[in-house]
Amino acid sequence: MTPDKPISRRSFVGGAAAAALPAIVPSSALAGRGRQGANDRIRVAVIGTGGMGTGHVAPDTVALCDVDDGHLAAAAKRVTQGTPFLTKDFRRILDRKDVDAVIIATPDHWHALMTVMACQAGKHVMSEKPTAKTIAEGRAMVTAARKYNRVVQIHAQGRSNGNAHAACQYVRNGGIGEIERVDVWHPLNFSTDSWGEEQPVPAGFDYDMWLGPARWAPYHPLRTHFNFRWFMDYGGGFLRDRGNHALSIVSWLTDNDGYKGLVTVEAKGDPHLTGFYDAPANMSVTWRFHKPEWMLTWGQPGVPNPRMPGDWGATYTGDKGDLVVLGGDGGCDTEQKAKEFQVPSGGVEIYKSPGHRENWLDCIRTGMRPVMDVEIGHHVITLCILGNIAWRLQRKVTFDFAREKFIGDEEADRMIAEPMRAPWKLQV
Amino acid sequence: MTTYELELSRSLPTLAGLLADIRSGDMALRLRAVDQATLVGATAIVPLGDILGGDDPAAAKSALEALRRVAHHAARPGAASERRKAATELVKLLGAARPRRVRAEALYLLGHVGLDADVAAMARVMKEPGLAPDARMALTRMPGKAARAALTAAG
Repeated sequence: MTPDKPISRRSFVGGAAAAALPAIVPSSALAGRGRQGANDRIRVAVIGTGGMGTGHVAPDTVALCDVDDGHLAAAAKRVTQGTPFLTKDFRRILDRKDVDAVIIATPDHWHALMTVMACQAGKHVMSEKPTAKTIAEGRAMVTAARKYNRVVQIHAQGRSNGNAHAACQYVRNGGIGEIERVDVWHPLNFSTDSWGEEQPVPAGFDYDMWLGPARWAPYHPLRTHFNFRWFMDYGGGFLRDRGNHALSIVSWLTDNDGYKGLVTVEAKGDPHLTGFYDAPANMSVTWRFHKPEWMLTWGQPGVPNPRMPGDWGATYTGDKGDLVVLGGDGGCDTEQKAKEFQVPSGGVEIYKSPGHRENWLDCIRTGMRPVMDVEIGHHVITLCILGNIAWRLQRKVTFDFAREKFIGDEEADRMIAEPMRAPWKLQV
Repeated sequence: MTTYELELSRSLPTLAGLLADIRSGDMALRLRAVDQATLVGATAIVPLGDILGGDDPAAAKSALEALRRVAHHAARPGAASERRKAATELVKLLGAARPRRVRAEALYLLGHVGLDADVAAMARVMKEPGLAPDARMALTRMPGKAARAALTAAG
């Protein structure tokens, strides 16, 4: 929560903001705490409208926020039902009574803070992947969702993909037997030959707000839009980015979402020395789960399965067979044997999401937990973060999921949370 | 010294060799230097900081990665005396004459590996507007009463 002064509703209601108010009764006035009425329109705002945010702006979005005027103007054109409230400061969105829910599609270092503050403001949340930048942030998001009784879905939409669902039912019903290992392959992190010399901040771009809770760094265009992924301070490389997708599917298929035991993690990778990005140039990570014992690997570039090669995917190996699953986001694919699999009588039926956004909106109406509930998102991103910590420390670390602490490594414990640049502070 | 130890000592990088590799334009040598920096240890920290603050951005980036390797390696479990030495060397990089980038990185690493004895030097930087946020973040990361007290005193 920011220590900034609360923004008065009076300060923004009026003018364009007043024109944007939908002429409907707030659904929160009709339904119980934490729930919308079954037929109510859920009024959604989008925070972060460039990059991944472009796909979240629907024709009836009621409010938009971006620190870049260009993103904001482009997003406003996609709203065709009414005039959206526009702002560069997300706190003005959270203060609005005509917003029921927010989609957060900012760079990653903002996800947790915005999610917590949105829950405190009474908004339901769907936050883009990765769930969080640190383990402590993920835990704070879970705590906020529960404390304020909000539906918080992470937009790792593979959990709503039909092929991933088929693969899940196949594996969970013993299609490959007991899991022995899962091997994920993925392309390398991006590289650059720029050294990131400071440049003037473009007009219309609030760079200080873009940095937000992250430590200060000189402005360079390759640090911000899209390429923030290649910095450990913001994106954490593909492991914390696409890894959230890939490892979400792994956790789902292996029934690992609720794992509370120990995991030992090792990581190797060359530092990126040809430019100012600081995510590793290449990376291999191994997670060894203790009870039950099985192994997960992440390879950049890794080894695609020749039976079903693709840009990125995973081979699931059990004691009775194996299965390939490609991707992990909205574009999952798997082998025919899984697609044709029928759950036997008495077998494990996995809930099939109607679509990731639909599932989130349904859950706001019903009070149910979404398919990629924030607690699952926290578990999955913890795995990704552990890989990055092991790489940064260049040593094997063992993490206790039950205590959310490392075993016998005081320095690693200091990496569970990342202090935030003033005035930002994460307080649930 | 056994034959094995003798061979090992011949293959260990020297500080001068490490710095020469970092400054070279050869990517393979730079990668090797980053990988082997931990074998030189804490004595490399200040010279690496010098390169980090220099005019050659490619050498500075390699020095940065080597510096991080040395600091984190020194803070591994069971290496208390190495950690103490590394933290002491990192504090030397906080000197006001050094470039902001070097001092900020030293604060960042001290947040990870620093001990109570380093808190006073870090707290002094909180009085400088340009680096105060970095110092505050570093002290916030550190456990212990000394860091808490410094943050409280700074307001």
